[in-house]
Amino acid sequence: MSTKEIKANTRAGMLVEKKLKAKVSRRQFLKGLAAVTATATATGSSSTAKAFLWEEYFQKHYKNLTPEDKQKVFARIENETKKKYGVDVKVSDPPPLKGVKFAYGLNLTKCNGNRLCVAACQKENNLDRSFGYIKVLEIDKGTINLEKGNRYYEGTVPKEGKFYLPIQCNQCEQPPCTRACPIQATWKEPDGIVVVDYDWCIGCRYCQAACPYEARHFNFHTPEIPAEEINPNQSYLSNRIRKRGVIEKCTFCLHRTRNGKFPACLEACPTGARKFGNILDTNSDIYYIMKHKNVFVLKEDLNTIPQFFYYFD
Amino acid sequence: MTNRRKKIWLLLLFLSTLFTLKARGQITETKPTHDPALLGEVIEQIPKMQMYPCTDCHSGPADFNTTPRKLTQEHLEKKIHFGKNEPEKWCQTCHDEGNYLKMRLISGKEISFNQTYLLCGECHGDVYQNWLRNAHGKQVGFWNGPRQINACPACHDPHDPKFKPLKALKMPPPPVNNFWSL
Repeated sequence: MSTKEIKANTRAGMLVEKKLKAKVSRRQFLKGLAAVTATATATGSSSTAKAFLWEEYFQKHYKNLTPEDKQKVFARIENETKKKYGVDVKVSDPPPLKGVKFAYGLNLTKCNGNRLCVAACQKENNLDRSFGYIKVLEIDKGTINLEKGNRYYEGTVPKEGKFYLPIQCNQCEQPPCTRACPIQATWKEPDGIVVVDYDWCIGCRYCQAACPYEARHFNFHTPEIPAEEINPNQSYLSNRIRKRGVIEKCTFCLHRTRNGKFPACLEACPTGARKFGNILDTNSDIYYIMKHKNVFVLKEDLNTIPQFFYYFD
Repeated sequence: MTNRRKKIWLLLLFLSTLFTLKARGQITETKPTHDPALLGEVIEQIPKMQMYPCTDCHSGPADFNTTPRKLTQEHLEKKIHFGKNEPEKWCQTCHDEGNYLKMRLISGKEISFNQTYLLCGECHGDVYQNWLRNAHGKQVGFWNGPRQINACPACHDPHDPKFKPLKALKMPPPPVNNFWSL
């Protein structure tokens, strides 16, 4: 915000305060209201790039959007991205598949902490490069105290006497984050993925505080993404470019997984530690792992029932 | 009534054409026989190794030196994991003596380079059992499509199979609070 704008704003504030103190008749109030709306519309239409868009502001909740509304919204997002980054992207909205419930397995014996998953996730999901959905903890062998895990290790891995435990969203069966949200901007989809409607989110960060796995990230500033690295295959609920002041989180790459692909982190992993699939399918790999390995989840005592399972081979 | 009969005949015709088409597809899709224990199709290795056919240098059994020794001319890059601590093991432990386009099981049975998992599984039984169920190894392809399975050499160097240490990518730096240092 420039100094001019700030000045204008403070002046407006003073005027409003003055008016508030004064007694107002019904007629005067209506007049004022009309004037305010008129100016607001004028500014809204004149500087669409900077100020909020009316379409966006009056957009309905994702669940109340009709298919036609969705097409309009996707077109708007595509236009915005084109304007800001000069990149042609395709925003889609793959629906959850019937009879599918996603689950993730992670073999801690195989994981060697090389963080290729973190980088792949950043690129796939158009993240700001200053953080990652996946946090890899370096923990002493024989202990599993997450508090003492080192998140910022460097050099050649795996190190002697350490194991590596990547943490991302657990897609809990009883997610505390969705209950914390006062406006239902985040919810659990039928296929088990917890998603956020970034246009509905008001940025109160209650969900971030409620999550015991540090899975959620708040955009304190507008995400900075190199334009040449933007992933053009985007989805409304997952990897479209977020704006300032909203929460974001891992969605198991739903724009990929709902089309049959594996998540980007799995494809990037050279060790084969990551396993993904449909837990309801008795022939799936993840079903076999759940049945035959000693799997465990993080913070089981909180009764969040995570769908992200760790195991040692 | 005639109309209905016509419809039924048409449906039958359609179904029969469908079946013949399917049968034709199956004939063209004939593949080398796979281990019935496998859940899916193992990704073939032979197309990946067309660059250096062994037969360029080794044409007959006479070119196959079976005495363990230090390699000085070719195959220098081969670290020979198997010969490191077990001096009785040498190339012929796995490679077929005389036929350089085949591998050999302990029983003496010749196998193709596409079936090396049988050879690896002879010693690494627990890994092999996990691999058969797709619990060991990287998932490839699609989670809901026909299963594709990586063969052992897709990730492990057959002559030095232990997974090598890697340099970790840098974690984004810890967040810094710039608020008070304006």
